[in-house]
Amino acid sequence: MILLSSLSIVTPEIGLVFWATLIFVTLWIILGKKAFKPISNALEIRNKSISEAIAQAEKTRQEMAQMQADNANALQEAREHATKIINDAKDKGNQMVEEAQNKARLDAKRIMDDALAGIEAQKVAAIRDVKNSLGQLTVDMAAKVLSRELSDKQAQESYVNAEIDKINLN
Amino acid sequence: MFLQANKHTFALKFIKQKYLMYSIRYIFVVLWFGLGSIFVSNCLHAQEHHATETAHETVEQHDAGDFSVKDFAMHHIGDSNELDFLGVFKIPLPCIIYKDGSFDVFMSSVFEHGAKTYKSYELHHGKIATTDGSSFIDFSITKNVVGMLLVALLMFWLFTGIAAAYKKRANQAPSGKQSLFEPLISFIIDDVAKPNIGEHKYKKFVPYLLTVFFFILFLNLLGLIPLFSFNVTGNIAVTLILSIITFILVNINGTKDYWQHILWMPGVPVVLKPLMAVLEFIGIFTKPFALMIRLFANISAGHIIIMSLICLIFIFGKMGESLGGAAMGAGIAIPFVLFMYCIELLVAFLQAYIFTMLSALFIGLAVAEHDEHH
Repeated sequence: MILLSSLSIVTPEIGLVFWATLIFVTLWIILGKKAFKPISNALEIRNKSISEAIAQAEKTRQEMAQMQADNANALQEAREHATKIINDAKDKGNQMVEEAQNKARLDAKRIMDDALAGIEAQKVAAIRDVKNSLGQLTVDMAAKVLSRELSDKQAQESYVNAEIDKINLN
Repeated sequence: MFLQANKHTFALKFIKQKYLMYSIRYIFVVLWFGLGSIFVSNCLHAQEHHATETAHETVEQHDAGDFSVKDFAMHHIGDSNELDFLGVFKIPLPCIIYKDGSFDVFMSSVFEHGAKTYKSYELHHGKIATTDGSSFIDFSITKNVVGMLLVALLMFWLFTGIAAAYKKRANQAPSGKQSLFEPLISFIIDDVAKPNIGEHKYKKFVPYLLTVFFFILFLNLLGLIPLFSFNVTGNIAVTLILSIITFILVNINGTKDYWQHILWMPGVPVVLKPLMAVLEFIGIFTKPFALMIRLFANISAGHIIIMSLICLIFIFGKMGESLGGAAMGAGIAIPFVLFMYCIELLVAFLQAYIFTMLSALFIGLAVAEHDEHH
């Protein structure tokens, strides 16, 4: 109704068309060159750098996590290695002690056996000596007794005892 | 238990929303009928008036008792040769008239607001006309031209400053006016240009889309400042230019596919192809035409509604005769005007966005490379 009753508002005026074109196109050219192109480029560059920074941070985070995991693994391995070394050393030590003990025991046994054998031999020799000495002494004694004429029984006995005392059984 | 309570609040919300919707609709219906009846009565009145007073066609009705909402609103949304602040301050503007191969340049103050004629010119309904009816072209710097110049200067200052800030603070967080406008700028680039035109070709059109968005937005907002009463984007000459530029951009950037789809639509029976060609060819013009009308009509309608609501005060007050009536008119008009202002604020952004988005969409349709044929 308004439009029909007043057609002037739907009739573009040439003057205004001219000025609108001039102002808008000038604004478009100037702002496009001086403002909107630089702004949109700057925004794009910034957006790119932000997304790159975020990606980089994410990557770094992952690398850190990986590194931490690696470190933990390395630590675990080192610990296991150390335990193994200690256990090995312990085993070896035990083994060495055992060997030493065995050796000592064998040595001791051998020494003991040798000693016992020596003692036995000496004992046999000593007994032989005693036997020999005893025989000699008995012979000597008999000779002496026979060679001396003993008058009385008492004197005879004391003489034998004295002679026996002389025999030092050492 | 909790779920039930939740359900209840949801239902309540739903009812509230529904109620709100109905009340908004109701308000619109009331507005529609109210305004309709006002305009009808005015038109009838005007016709009656014309019938009785056909002899003095040039003498317009200026009786104190007769008040025309239509004239009031039309005067407001129309162009003018002077800047009018609150009807008190009137700043004359230069008139530039091209007639018979030469320019006549003078200030609009020579007319003394229509009381006098100058050379062979007079102010007729606030517009320059010749007394003898000879033809001329009016290149005057009118109120709308001043509005556009103001906005152009504002935009130049604003966006060159913002561009400098981007250069100075490269790769840093925005600050000041840079951070105020960055959301809008990146919205136009990332959510209007990119999805509608496509990743590869959008860059070329970003300056146009941003310029047209902010040009329309700032002019819309300028039109909402009550003191100045600019109505630039509600002027068909301005929307005509903007839509013509979109039309040119669309068609000079049209790919082979675009023209093929218009002139010889693939995938359609041959019988239909000429018909489709005719329809598509008309479509080339209807799209920018719709852009032009949409912006012009939305902004003008908003201004007309606000003006008409304000006129309620004068109608109810019988042009100063009844103070009580005026108070009642104000009581009714002010809440409605406030409401309309909120709507207009939304519309200012919405229409700027729609114009930009549809321009991007049309450009996108023209530059698209179709791989598949449908």
